[in-house]
Parts: sequence; C-alpha cells; structure tokens
Amino acid sequence: MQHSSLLVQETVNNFTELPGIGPKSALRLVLYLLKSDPEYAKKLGSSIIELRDKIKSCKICHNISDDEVCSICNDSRREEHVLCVVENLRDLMAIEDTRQFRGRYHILGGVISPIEGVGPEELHIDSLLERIERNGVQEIIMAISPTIDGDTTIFYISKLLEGKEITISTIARGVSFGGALEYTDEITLGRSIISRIPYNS
Amino acid sequence: MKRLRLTHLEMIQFKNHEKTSTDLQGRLVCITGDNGMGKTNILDAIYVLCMSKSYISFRQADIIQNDKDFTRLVGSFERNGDKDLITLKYPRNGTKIIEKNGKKYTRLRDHIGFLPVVIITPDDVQLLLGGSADRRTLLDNTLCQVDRDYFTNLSQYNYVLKQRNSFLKSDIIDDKVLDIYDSKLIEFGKQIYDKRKQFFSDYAETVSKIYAKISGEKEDIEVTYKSQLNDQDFATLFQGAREKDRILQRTTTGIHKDDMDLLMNKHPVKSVASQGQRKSLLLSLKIAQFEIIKTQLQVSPLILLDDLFDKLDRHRVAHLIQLLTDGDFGQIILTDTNKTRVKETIGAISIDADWLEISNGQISNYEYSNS
Ligand SMILES: [Zn+2]
Repeated sequence: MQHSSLLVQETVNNFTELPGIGPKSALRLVLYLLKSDPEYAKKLGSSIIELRDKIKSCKICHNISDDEVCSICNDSRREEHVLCVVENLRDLMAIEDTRQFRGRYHILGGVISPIEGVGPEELHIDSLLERIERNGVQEIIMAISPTIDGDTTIFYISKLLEGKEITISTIARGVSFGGALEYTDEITLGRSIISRIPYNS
Repeated sequence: MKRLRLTHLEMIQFKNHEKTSTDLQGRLVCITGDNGMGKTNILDAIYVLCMSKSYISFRQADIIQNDKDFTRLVGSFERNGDKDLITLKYPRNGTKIIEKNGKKYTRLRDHIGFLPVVIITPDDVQLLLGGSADRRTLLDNTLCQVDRDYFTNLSQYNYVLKQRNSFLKSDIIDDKVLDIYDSKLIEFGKQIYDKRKQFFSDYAETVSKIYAKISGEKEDIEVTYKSQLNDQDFATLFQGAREKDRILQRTTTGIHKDDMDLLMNKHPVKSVASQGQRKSLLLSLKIAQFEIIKTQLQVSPLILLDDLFDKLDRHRVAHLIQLLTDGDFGQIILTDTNKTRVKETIGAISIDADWLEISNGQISNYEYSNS
C-alpha cells in the first residue's frame, strides 16, 4: 500500500514488523494514533524507548527485570528450595499465570539443538548448577516442552545432577508429545505442575 | 478390499503447470505427449498429494513454479463410494499445509498411508545401480504407508541423527550429550530395525514369486535385509564407532546405513543379470511393494507408471498391464510419448480408459472411450 504521507507510510511499515500485524491492522493503529490525544502517542513512544533501554535480565534466574534481581527472586514468600526450570520467558509467564507454583524459576534460554548452534554451553546451565549448590535446592521441576530436544536437555541436566540429593520431576505430560508449552491452556498446565512426575532417565 | 481412484486433479503453479485441471473417469488413465510437456509432473503432483513429498525433485521447493510464491494441488479421490477432497498448499517461505475435506492435518503421520501409492519410473534403475539410499527409500516408502508408528520412529530417528551430526561438527563435544543422542537413536532405531526385518520376510517371498510370473524364467531371486544390527547390538555398535564418529564428524553406524541385497542365483544382480532380467526384477520390486501395501491396508494403491515403454517392449507392457489389472486394482495412471503405440498395446484389455494429451503444461485434448 502507498500512502500520501511518508510519515504515515514509515510508521505503518514499522508496525508491520510486529508479529501478527499486517498492513491493514498497521494502518488502523496509525489512524487511531492520529485521532487520539497527542499525549498518548508521546507516552506510548517513551514507554517503548524506556522499555528497551532499561530492561535487565535477572542475574539469578535470567527473568526480565527492572533491577539486578527480579521481583520473583526477591519475594521471600516464595519457596527457594524448589526451582522450576523453563526454556524461555514465555513459558515462565505461562506457568506464573496458572498461580499453581510458589517456588522460584530458572530460565535456560532454550534447549540443546546443535542444528541451531545451541550446545549446552549456550544455555544457562552453569548458573543453574551454581544456584543448586549455593541455595540448597531440594527439588527441580523440569517444565520443558516434550519434544526430542526438550527431552535431551532434561536428560543432560539430570546427568549433571547424578549423585546429588535432589528430586527431579517433569511436568506431567497432559501435553501431547511434540506440543509446545505456550499453546497449552492454563488449566492443563496448572494441573500438570501439581501432578508432576518423578524423572528417571 | 477397497479400490482407490483419483477423479479430479488441479495443479496451480506446480512445476510447468501454471493452472491445469482435469477430470478422470477410467480406471486406466493414459497420458500422452512429447517429452518436456509435463507428463511426469502430473504423476509427481499426484504423488505429492499422497506422500506430501516430490518423488522426482530432490529440493522440495523445486515443485513450485519459477518466480511464484506458492503451489497448490487439489485432488478428489474416491474409494468404494466414499469421496475425499485433498488439498495441499506449499508457500515458498513456509511449510506444506495438507487438508482433508477442508480440515487441516495437524500431524503428517495421519495423512501418509491414507492415499496409498506406488510409482514406477525410469529412475527405478537406481535401485540396482545406485547407492543404498535408493533402496532404503523403497523400503521406507512402503513401511511408512502401512505403519504409522514406523513413520513416527523414522522421523524421530532422522531428527536425532541430524542433531548428532551437527553436534559432532561443533567445537566442544561433550560425551554426555553423545550418550543421550545414542540412547535415543537406539530407542527409535531398534523399532525400525524390527519392522524392517519383519517386512523382509514377506517382501523377499513376494518379489521372487512375481519375478517368476513376469519373466517366466527360473532364476532364483533372493532379496535380503542387510544391516549392521544383524550381527551386533546397537549399543556395542555405537560404542565401537564413537572415536571414528568424532574424527569423521558424522554418525557412521546405525539403521541409516541399512541396505537391501539383491541376488540372482546367489550372485549380485548388478553383475550377472541381463538387461531383460534387470527390467523384470525392477518391476517385481515395485509390484511386490504394491501387493504388500494392498494386503496390509486392504486398499488397492494408485499405480503411477511413468514413461511406460522406456523399460519394456510391447509384449512385456501388455503382460504387465494384464498382471496389474488381473487382481484387485483401483487405478493405473500411465504416461508415454506415443499415443498410437499405447492404444495398440493395451487396447485389447477391456477396462474403461481415459486418454489425455498434454502439451506445454496444458491438457488440450480429452476424450473418454471404452476402448
Ligand atoms: Zn530472578
């Protein structure tokens, strides 16, 4: 689509780079911004800039955070001896939404997949082991997508923890094999955390 | 026994077919036209609808017409009164989407085997002359169509194999990771091995029976399963190959090295068989595939015969068609360059036949007759 205004054109183009936004939706958003209070556009723009500038990664669990340590790691009411290990932020959010888990998290940053250049070194596995050692973690729950790569990653971590006094469980597989966690509904996911099963490799 | 038939085909931006569609009524469909007009592509389109993959093109994206963004295929299939509409859309920058009666498949394994198919092409000669990969393809094509678990195990095995090979090429090779990949290859590979072994006991017998029928000769044909696992268990194999795998940076042992041995009177077919004997054997391998799929699924597969006279003289062609149409068969779709030759050769067989003529990717002439 060509627009008579280059400014409109450029904003539309920028919007279409967002996931799920096509040229039509982008134009609708741009027209909305033009119609609304100029203050709103300013607020929106600066919050986006601030978001990118100031967001941090929690140095303990690698969650997104406004400070060095995220609000979950800082929350003393949360059980610190139980860790839920997830692939990414989206999975953490999905589990947090179920309100069934009151422990802490650890984000791996992916799963082992050499095809995509991800070996164990590329993941936050060292910091996980350190945490387990330092904080006397008693249980870890592997909330990893039940795919071949997810399975490989769980297997690998469990091998590193062999001989340690620690319970390893995986979330119960109400999720079909090959399914991704973020598409699992809250109830299924919540239930599968409660009914987690001991992991034996 | 159900008989599968294709009754309508549409190809959009598929290889040299910009937009072609045709109705098919007979159980014998003869497509004729000069070379390069797109006859083989029609068979390949049908094959893609059945198996989701091209039989001819190595690079899957090559089935999309040059400079086009996608290809789309539509096929109406019929079996004993039941009709199914299958569509396949393949965008250049995406994955294939297959729908059955408007409903999208979530897993490919639910589709493979629904439209059983056997293709016979001039390239089959690679089964004798080519490497083991060609023979494994025949094996896998057959087993994937009759056994969903086999298809799943094979996809998973191949995926782990790719991961393991990539890992062997990386800078840091952690034995723990290799151990895990090995255990997965063993888990999936063992099931594949058992099924292949079982398959061969049936297949070997069927091939030699059909060979005797086709050739009318007495050579003793032996088809055997060749696998490293015949002599050693999987774990020992992987253990023994670990060092070699590290050096060569790929997985040198496993069921992806399996092969099929073809012997004639105890000697390798490749070195002792005459031209005629080879052709008879190649057809036997394919007809045996047809028979096994038919028996296991209780559905008679479509038969796609490419470039019919490339392999055979008139006498053999007539004999082959007779053999295929004798028992339960659903539909044969064949191509050749010479319409008169096809008519003269198979005209005596009393089956409803469609005659399609093709030029420049367009089916320009369509006649329906009871020849
Ligand atoms: Zn944190």
